[in-house]
Amino acid sequence: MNGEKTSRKTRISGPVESVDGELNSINSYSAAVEDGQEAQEIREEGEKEQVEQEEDEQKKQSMTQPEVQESNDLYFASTQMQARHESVLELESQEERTKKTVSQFLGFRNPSEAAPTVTTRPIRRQTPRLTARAGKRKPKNQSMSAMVRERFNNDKFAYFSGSQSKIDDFLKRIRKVEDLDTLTGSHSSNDNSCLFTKEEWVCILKNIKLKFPDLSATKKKSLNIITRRIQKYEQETEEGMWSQASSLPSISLTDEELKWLYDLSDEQMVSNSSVIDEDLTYGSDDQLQFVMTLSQNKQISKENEVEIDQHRDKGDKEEMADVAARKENSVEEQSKEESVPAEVSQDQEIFSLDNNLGDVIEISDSESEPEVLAVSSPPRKQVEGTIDKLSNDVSSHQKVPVFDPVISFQSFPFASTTGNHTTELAKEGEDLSQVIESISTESPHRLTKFNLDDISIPIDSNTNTLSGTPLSDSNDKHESPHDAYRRDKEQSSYNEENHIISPFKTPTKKSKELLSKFSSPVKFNSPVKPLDTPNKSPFHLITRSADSQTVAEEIVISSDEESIYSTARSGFPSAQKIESLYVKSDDDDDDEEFPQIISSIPAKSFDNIKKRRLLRTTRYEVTTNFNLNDFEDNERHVKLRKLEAKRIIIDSDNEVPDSEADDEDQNISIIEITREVGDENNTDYLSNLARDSDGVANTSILQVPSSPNEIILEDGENVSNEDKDLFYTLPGSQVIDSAVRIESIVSNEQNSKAGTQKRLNFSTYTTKELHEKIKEWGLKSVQGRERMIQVLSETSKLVVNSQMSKSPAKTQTAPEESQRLFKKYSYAKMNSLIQQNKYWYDKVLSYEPLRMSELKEWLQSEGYNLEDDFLAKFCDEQGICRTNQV
Amino acid sequence: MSVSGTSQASFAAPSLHVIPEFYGVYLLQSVPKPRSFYIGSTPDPPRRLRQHNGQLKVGGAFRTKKTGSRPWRMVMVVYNFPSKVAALQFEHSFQHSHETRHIKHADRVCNSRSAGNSLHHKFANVRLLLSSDYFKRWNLKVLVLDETIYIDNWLKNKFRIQLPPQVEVTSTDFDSYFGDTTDLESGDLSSQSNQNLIQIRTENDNTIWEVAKELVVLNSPTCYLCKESIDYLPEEIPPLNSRKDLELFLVGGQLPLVSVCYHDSCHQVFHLSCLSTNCNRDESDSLLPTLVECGNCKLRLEWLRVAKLATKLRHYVLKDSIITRSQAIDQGQ
Repeated sequence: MNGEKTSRKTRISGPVESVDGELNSINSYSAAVEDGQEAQEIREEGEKEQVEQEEDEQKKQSMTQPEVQESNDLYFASTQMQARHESVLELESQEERTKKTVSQFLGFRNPSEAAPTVTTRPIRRQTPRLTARAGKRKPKNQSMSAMVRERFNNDKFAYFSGSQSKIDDFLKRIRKVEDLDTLTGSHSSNDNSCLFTKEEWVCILKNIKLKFPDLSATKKKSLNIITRRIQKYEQETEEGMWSQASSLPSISLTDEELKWLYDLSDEQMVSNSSVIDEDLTYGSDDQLQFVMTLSQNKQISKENEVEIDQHRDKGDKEEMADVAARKENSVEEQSKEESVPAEVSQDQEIFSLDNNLGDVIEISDSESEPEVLAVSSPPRKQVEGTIDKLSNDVSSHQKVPVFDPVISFQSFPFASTTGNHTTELAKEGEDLSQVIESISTESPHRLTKFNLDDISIPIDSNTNTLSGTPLSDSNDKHESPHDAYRRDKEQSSYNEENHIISPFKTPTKKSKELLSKFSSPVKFNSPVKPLDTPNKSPFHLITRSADSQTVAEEIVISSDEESIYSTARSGFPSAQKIESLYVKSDDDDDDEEFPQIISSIPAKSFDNIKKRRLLRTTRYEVTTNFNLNDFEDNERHVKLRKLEAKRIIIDSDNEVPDSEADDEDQNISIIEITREVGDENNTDYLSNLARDSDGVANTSILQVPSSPNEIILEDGENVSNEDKDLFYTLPGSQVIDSAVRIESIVSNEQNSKAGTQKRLNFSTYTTKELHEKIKEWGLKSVQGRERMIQVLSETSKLVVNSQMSKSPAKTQTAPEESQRLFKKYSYAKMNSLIQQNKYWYDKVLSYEPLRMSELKEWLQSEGYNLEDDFLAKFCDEQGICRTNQV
Repeated sequence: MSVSGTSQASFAAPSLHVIPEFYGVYLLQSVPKPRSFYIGSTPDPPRRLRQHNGQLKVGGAFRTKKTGSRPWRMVMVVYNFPSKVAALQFEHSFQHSHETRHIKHADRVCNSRSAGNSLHHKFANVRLLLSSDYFKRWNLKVLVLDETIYIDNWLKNKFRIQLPPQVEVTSTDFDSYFGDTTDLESGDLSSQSNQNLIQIRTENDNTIWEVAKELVVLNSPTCYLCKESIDYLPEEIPPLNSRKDLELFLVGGQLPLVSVCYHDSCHQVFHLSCLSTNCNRDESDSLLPTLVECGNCKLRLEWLRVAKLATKLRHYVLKDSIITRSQAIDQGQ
């Protein structure tokens, strides 16, 4: 293996011919080795080269060994730590995979000496991570980017082959992967732009020289160049812009920040923004709120992909959240951490760690989770401006500096250790609150689902905590810079707290330690690696744990905030009381300082809404008296019973109760039907119901209203249709006594103006059924369910029950037939109506063109609100001239 | 003629419906350009024709102005419309036979504006319309004013469309039917010197009218069917200034429509409503009766004529009370 490696390593310089097409392109880049910067890029490109990966892996392994051992203990003090742990695990698996692919690539090795294109590319330390990450990707819920990533990882050659743009793109993004360095333990060199540490390179160099004792002059030269460059990088301090930009955000708090945080009092925290107030109101909306924040956490910035990927395996959102928080805080947090879903808030979309942070080197990782923390990079200037402000005036952290909303998130306390940190840190104070605000505001509005299964994550109750303020503001994605800044801060701070709060607390030893350390802001400084940045907000209170600073760094970050904010002791209505974490803390001070950590996250998670069953009870008044056994169908949740024969007037639409007092109990039976709303088969069921109870299709239940009183005349039996028809034909049939009869009938009819309650209850129909009914009757279709019901019920007033009874069991009458029937009966009714009114009758008889408006009005006065189209059809088919003239 | 009041926002003139004496929808054909047609409606065809041909100073239609198309001749007239509105509706349907709702899509002869412009098509459309649900109840009649056309086009019935049986189609000559109007300015129908069909009819109508007037208004008849007395000379008829007034008055039921059996042997008076209810009809069938029998003489009555009489009578009684718009203006309204 080693031998292989070395042989591959020999390839360092110059354009190397490669068999592989892709490697060719990569090798062409290698020509630019001269340029140190480019060399880095090249190396980054070459990440596909398995050899380098292997080297990396080896190195990583060696470096992360202690970490790995650490990972056996699964208690992570913070999600960051866990995330790191997971990333390590992932790295390992990545390494294995790369080994495999390397072996595949071996086949392509050119026998010639110049061949091995799979040369030692110093870069690509990030690749293993990428691949590992990709491997860990869950099969489900893959986003486009996830799929691409997977494809990439599965077969890099295939991915890139033939696509120069892809390679370019890839390279660009690789440039941004900074975190790899930290993970691989190159913290010692704050130089994240270098893929190899000096030690690594030395190793490589040694191997090369071993393998190829006879190197050409040019090759030697390039080796030297590389060596020199590496040395240069090693020596580079953070003063340079590039190094600053490329370095990790400082995660230690400056004294300034500590002081600031320490000074943060409850009131300040609370008053900092009406955040809390709103929070309280939100607190009432527990469940929703809770869920919301969870979803927020799911969102991840692109930048955070890398880290998130690393952490993902850990399955602990807390850690990821921590990581994310850290990311958020750092402008330079170019490592695109997939902020743990827990942590990422919706805001993170706003606060996108923007690749555009000019000089920032970001870990380009296209394989980020869909919910990528979009943290925009703040313009540097602004950042520094805020820093200054902060530093100058501690109390001014309550103020919100002018800030670019886009920046927001990046300006997290967890700025990189380089000078950039300050910028971000400066904002923390305000940003955090803003962040939280934004998170909180947005949370209620979104409810995305988790990608990961972790339910644990506390969710960015960031929102819940501090963000009292302008929840409304934060809603607005275009909020003012300072709002964003504030939000960032709050978010990050909250993130930590959340992590503590999460139901599935997975505190690691580290986090414990950290927390203990953070118990008193002052105390904390000790284990923290001193950071250069002047103004470190409290959120830099990240202790690089003793074990592995790199890992701890990330893990701790959120815990910092947690602890810090826990000092604030804000009260939250629906908050959980978290004691466990701090109880375990070693430091006694914890108890004092943090008697109780109150999470604004409601304790219980968002349950499914209990399924409610809506029941509707309707009562029908039936004209005939019949005995009815109480009927109950539990399956369909229908109950039927006969009530006291006391007349109950249903206030259906527009119905005028009969003016006649009809207290003949014998004539009336009232049936109460309780039905579950939402059943689709209502009407059928009802009609069946009628049948069941009576043995006969007792359509009296479904009787159409406006049935004239004459129908009620019979006692104790269904009124036959012939009888009903008789009444209608009375005017025509009786000649001599017609006048008298007519009048009596007229009076009857008038008394039963709007009919009784015997009517088809169209509200029980489904919308589809309603539509069908309308079509069946040849009416003009209308928009909306309510409208349909209205139309049908009004029109059905015209239709006497007889229509139903004539074809009781036949539910499958032909549509034309049913329409004909409908028309027949409705027109008959209309005609009778007209006939009874002398004025209108004369009008019709004299061929006077009926004014539709007048006709409608008159019909309304009769109690029939019929539709225009129905009236028009009626007139047309009866040969009655009509006009729209007013 | 039906008196339709001008409806303005401020003044809705009371309009009492009267069935017009004559209202027809006509079909013009250009003499020099036999493929050009024009469809219109008029209560007075001779006058209208003259207007079309530019013989009268006022009136005419834009489409018929073109000298190249003049002179026009009237080829066919559908008449016996119960109201101006009805005639206009028919005219519109006739003009837009490709898209009128009265002709079912499946039955259409013409399917587009440009197509189907022969006489055959025109006649087919008339047939279709006459047999539609809407128009078939109106007792419409057709005049074909050219013998050859009648035979070649109408009777040929190229599109095989059946007419309802009650429709009378007469083949006649324009001049003979409507009278020679060349020597008259106004072309008033009733002032025709020539004896022709229309005059005979008019006279016939006139006699009936006189009879009816006398019977109903002057005497105090009772409705033959309901035995109620009919008082067509109400003591007080309030001034009917607006449509609303008229409506209220009529709703009061003081002047129900009363008609007379126009058979000479009968001359029976009855309420219009009584007579119509007397006839046997299906409940869902139209209120407008088709076959009516006189309660007395049992002879068949044409409903339109009966109704026309009724409306005329009512109008005769009320016309003095109805204040027309001009009168209202005069009164300083």
